[in-house]
Amino acid sequence: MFKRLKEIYAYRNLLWLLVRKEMKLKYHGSILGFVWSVMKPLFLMMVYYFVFDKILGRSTPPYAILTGLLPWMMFISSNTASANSILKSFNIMNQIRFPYEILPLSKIFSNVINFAISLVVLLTLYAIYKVPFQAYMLYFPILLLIELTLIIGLSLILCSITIFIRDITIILDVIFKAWFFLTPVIYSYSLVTDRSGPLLQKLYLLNPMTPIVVSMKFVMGVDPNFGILPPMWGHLMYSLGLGIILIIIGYILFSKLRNKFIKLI
Amino acid sequence: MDKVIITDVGVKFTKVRFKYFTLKEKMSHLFKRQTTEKFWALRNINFKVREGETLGIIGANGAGKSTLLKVISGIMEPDEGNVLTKGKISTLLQLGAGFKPELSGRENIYINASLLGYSFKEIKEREQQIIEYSELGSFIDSMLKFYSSGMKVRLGFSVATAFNPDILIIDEVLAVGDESFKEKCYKRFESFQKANKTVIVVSHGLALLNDICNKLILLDKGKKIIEDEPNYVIGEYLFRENLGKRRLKTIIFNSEGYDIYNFKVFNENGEETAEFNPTENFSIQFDVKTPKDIEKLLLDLIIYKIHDRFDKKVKIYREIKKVSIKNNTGKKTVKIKFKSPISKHGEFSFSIGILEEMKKPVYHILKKDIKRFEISLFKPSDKASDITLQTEWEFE
Repeated sequence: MFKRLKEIYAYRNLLWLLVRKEMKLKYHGSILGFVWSVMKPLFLMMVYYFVFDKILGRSTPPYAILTGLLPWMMFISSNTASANSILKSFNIMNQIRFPYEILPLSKIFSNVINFAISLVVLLTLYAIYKVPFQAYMLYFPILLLIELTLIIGLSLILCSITIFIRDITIILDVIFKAWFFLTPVIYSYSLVTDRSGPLLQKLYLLNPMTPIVVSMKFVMGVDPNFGILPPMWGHLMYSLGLGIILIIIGYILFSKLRNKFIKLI
Repeated sequence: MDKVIITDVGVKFTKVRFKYFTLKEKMSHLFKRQTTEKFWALRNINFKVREGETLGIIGANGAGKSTLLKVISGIMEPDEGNVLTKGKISTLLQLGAGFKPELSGRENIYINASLLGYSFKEIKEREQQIIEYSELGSFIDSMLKFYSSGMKVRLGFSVATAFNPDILIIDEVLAVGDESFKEKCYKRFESFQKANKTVIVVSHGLALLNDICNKLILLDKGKKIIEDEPNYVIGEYLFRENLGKRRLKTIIFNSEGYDIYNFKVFNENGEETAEFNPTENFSIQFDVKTPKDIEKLLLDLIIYKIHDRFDKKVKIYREIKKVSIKNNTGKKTVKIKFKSPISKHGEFSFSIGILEEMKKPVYHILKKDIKRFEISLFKPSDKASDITLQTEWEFE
């Protein structure tokens, strides 16, 4: 595994170029171009804010929605993009042998960069709404890293399976829609703790994204319904453990199937 | 020093009547057996390529040429056997491989070169040189999807050869370039050879292979048929190609005691010569020897036009004439007068065979390429096609 990492590192130029290409092509040819990567979560935020705050009356401030929305969007867009990454890279895979892990990685990286850019908007919103700074906020990068392990693991698995089952991407679409509502992205976790029994709560917490999103909202201090719920370290460890397991499974799967890619795409 | 060592390489593909890629398909055929069939795209391939050597690979479509290149360059892992390469490899495998159509030519230089494993610094140093060599000029900054195939090849070739790789692997792509670019490619190949680099080329351009390669390998249905000097391998290849098409069923027995000798070509004035005017009539003369008198002897006269830079021969005339030898010596002198000129220019070659008419004709011998002669140029381009000649045979 270490050897593979070294090999991937040797191809960091290519990774960087592909990330750049990704960023450039994402909104290529559209008038507002890059602005869209910031506008899209903002629009979504406004829609959800309207529905939750105005229609359902669940007073959730817009910046709280965006705090959950941004990491979630990074999660799904990385995974869906990675799932197709090998399939759509027929061209360059036919040129020479290189570590194919670069392909899903480039998708992940570009989404992380995208996330970083939209973070500026988030921080601006914080400033507008005068969210106070607190020391907890420094945990945010750690939470991101835990999310990243999940993303990398899942991406590796998805991109290798997609070659064999082409409609994975369509199935993913449905799964991610459901997953979205089962994660407290736009609503507050306290809604779940208030209304459901202990069994349902346990089931709910099986979702590895839940502790991440809940903790993110908590450390940023944006969920008014929380009170003083501490970051869920135990559950976060579960997410991290699952992430690492997924990476290992993904790595094994990828290594096993790698040689078949070129014959099948 | 051997730069590429291929030992016992085999690549297996699964030939599936229907390949189910989506879940629905997979489900609906869950209980039906997929008719899978494995076949070897390559099997038992062995060869070595030395430093400074240029190897060409030829073969009919589907012979496994491109698969072999993919295996050598590491894109595909062989299912059996070993591939060993030493040094940096540069490839140009498919038109547009390694390219992203939505990016500009310049950006593609970077992607392509970093695929080949070069650093930004190295690429930047050569960027200008690559652009100049590819003759793309201001097009370098427009999107690749608007490029013509010739432009893509020029760019691909420029990138692949710009970095002085130890091993250069090129698939049938050069055919797309125009003449002036081909000339440039030749020169690059030459400089590669001078610099003691290893080159492996797949091409259907036999003339190109004949010119640049030290060695050719002929593949047929995934197997190596021969590995030898270019003209020999090309001959074998063309022979096999023709065999498939024309179904030459003739078996030549090479019987003993049969011979054709003293072959001469005469011009209109009866002088022996090897060169003619296209308008000139000519005649040929040769001696036939058989071990015994034969009542029903057939003489097979074939005229070939010799083509291209290599010895590709195209049959343009054939005549079979009946003779009988009854003079107890088994010898006969044959004189054939051509009463109409060939009216083509170029180099021609005669082949003469002796057959005996039994229940089925028995082909005793065939003297191939017995004599060549030239008809001097009068049309700049002249394709080989069948000609009609009026002949007059005389026997002594």
